[in-house]
Amino acid sequence: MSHSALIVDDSSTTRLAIKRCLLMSGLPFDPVHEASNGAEALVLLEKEPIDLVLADVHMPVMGGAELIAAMASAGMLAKTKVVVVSSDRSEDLLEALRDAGAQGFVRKPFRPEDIRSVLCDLFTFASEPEDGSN
Amino acid sequence: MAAIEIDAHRITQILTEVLQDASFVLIDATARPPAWQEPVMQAILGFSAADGDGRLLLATTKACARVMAENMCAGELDGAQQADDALGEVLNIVTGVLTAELFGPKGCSFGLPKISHSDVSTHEALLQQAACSVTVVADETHRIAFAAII
Repeated sequence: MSHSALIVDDSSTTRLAIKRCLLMSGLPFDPVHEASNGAEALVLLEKEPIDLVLADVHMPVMGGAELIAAMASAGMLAKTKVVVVSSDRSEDLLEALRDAGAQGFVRKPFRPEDIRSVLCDLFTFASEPEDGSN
Repeated sequence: MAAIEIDAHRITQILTEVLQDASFVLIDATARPPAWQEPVMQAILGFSAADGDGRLLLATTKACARVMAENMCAGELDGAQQADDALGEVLNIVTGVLTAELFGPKGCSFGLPKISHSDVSTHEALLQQAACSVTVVADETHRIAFAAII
């Protein structure tokens, strides 16, 4: 069974890199949607069933913290898991995001195995996925 | 308000690690840097903390920014703006590492990187304002400068 994912980052380079990491992980995420800020992500979340959001923190228009707060207000966090992918290492910020509903954190720069490890902790997969990182 | 102290040696280490890990370019901090080729691509972002605020700058050539973009996207470039985007993202990551060391668990707020293409004299005038700056060589070919303007 595949899970749907949404990558939210204002950097198109990073969106491509995360998408590639998901592919290399061998984990069953399909389709993979993209949004360049929190507001675009919310539009997609209202239209599409999304199991996983991978969100940056610092973005124009609407950042990751505001996105998580909006998802919590709309009751979306019950069915959609949020993983924060950010260069910001402030422990206070990460604690606030965790309290708001984020369930995983990946620091930039990341390796495919960093993303794979967090996702394996959050999701139960039908069978052990093939490790595509070899 | 305590003064922000930035160590050039530590900045060089952070820059080397991030450039290698994020954009797969190899850094030589001891090599003699080549002359600038215009336009100089500059990514600048502002930060603000209890101890003070300032701007961080990462500059390189268009060719080097394109190499970073190609490496970060594994060759799947998505348009002419990808080099600008990649340079901004690398600065973003350097900022995250550096500010965590400077300001501890409380961190600081930092803005979005702004990209400009400038001539050499404009770039060097900006470096003159820096409290700390370092220059390294990437892939034995490209000049990269980082500066903290406080």
